[in-house]
Amino acid sequence: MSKALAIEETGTEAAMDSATPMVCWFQECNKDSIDLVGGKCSSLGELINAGVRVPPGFALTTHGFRQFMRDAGIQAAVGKLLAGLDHEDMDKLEEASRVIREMIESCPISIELEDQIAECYRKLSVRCCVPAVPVAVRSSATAEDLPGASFAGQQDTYLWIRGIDDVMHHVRRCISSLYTGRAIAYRIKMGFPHEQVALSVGIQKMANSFSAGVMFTIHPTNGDRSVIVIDSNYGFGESVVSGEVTPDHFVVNKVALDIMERTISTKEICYTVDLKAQKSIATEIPFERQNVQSIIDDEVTELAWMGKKIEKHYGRPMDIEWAIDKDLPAGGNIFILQARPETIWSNRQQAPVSTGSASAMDYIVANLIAGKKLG
Amino acid sequence: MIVRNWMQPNPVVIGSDTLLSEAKRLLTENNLHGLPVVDGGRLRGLITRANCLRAAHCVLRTQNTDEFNFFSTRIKVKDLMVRNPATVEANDTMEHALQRGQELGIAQFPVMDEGQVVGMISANEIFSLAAHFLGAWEKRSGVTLAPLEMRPGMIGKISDIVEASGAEVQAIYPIGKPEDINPQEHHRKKVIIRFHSENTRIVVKALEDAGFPVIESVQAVH
Repeated sequence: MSKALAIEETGTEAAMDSATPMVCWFQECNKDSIDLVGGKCSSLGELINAGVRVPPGFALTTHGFRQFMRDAGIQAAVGKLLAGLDHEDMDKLEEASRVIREMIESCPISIELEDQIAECYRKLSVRCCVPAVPVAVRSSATAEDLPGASFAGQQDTYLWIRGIDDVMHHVRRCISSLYTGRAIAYRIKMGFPHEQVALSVGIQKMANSFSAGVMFTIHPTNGDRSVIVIDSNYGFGESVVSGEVTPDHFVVNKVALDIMERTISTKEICYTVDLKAQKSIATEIPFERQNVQSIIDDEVTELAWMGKKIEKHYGRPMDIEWAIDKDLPAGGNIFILQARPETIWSNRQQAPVSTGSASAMDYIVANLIAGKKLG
Repeated sequence: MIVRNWMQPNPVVIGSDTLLSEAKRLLTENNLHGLPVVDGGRLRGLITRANCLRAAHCVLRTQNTDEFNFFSTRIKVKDLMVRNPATVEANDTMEHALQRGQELGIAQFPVMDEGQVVGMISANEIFSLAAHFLGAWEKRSGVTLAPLEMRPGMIGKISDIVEASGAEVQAIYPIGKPEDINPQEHHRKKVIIRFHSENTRIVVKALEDAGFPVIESVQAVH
């Protein structure tokens, strides 16, 4: 356990099984811990250890998930509901899904598991200097080839969750997302046994974002690796990720980090927190702000710089979610919430850029002779 | 010295679903350092005064009324309590409790007996233990001897010297360092002597003449 974690008196007799922990801090994860904490959380751990600014958090591991399912004792009932279902009969699947999800969401979490999650949550609150710190609860799938889990991951992000009761409730909702109709259908079709899929749940400090969005270190429409593309809107990043608004769009040169292209769109809604109710809500952006650029140019540059660093760490183009916190001073307020390898363009065979020139000068001269414009 | 005889019996406890503001009120009104959190007879956690104050401090620092509101009307005991707190058993010795407190760096222990919370050990109880131990209200005079090898008969010898100088010995405590854990070896220990005497200087002189250097001396004033 790192020093940063020893912030709290260890007045607890940790009954933790050190071999396979039920909960695990992000900073203890790396890219090899996908089996334990799923893709999302392991990539966050990898980023933290690479020195990228990521909001702190922890994960309920797949071991903890299995413990929950064992304690719940609903495996038999779930198996019965799923027996003999046809993956094309969506109505029946949805009905089974609804029953199973209700069952999971009404299952009490065992005291041991609750204590472990709650203790991490309390330590996270102490670290963030906010009692009952607002967190994002998101599912983190273990199998990359399981679209059921990956789209569950898209849907099952719960924002601005405060208080241990709410955290526990949303952890259960994330777990139950393993049994959406589509996920069940996919597993039946592919012949995966339902009992063997596992899921991890990430609990991460919520960045109170002024603006947020996504960034690709490759051009998503033409695969140009020399640029970084940033999409941004006010509020939490969900409006951009889900495509509910047309975000502001920036294309940044990856070498010089200057903005080559900017498109300011009319942004009608954003997700933000209602501080009275302590809930994430969609609100309309005031008319006078709708056509205003949602992040300043300096932030675009810093984001691009961070994107470059992350790309370098992974050695491949990345798809990154980011947020700019409004409670922190400039210079320390840009956070990376998620980074995954870009898959569409980077898996394609690249045509060689140059035809084997011996040096950079040869390349330039060859191009000049051929009459090409150098980008 | 068994924990049962020194603990605060029948401690104030609180349920985990209670608002934190209620816990704060109980801590303040009863001048407590920690509140055991008990649900259905089972110890679930411990709310400490320090954690309450730290949380309140964090909230005040935000200067945000919504945050104040959330803190005073929504945060529950379960959001702030330490889970699975370290405990001591009612039949443990006080030495054990003190040693665990030193190891863990904490000063509050719920006291358990057959799985039930039957008391609390906190700074108040430890103060009381130390006060009893040193006879704080008796106003004893005292000297401290420089570290010396403790051998069988040493305490008797010191006691004889002090009594021969006209003082009435109340207590002699050799004190070693926590790392000297093997009592078989003769470690060098300071010796603290408490006695009733009109004139400590006579005692000091008698001890020094007998070859025991004195590093501290206190004359009690009645």
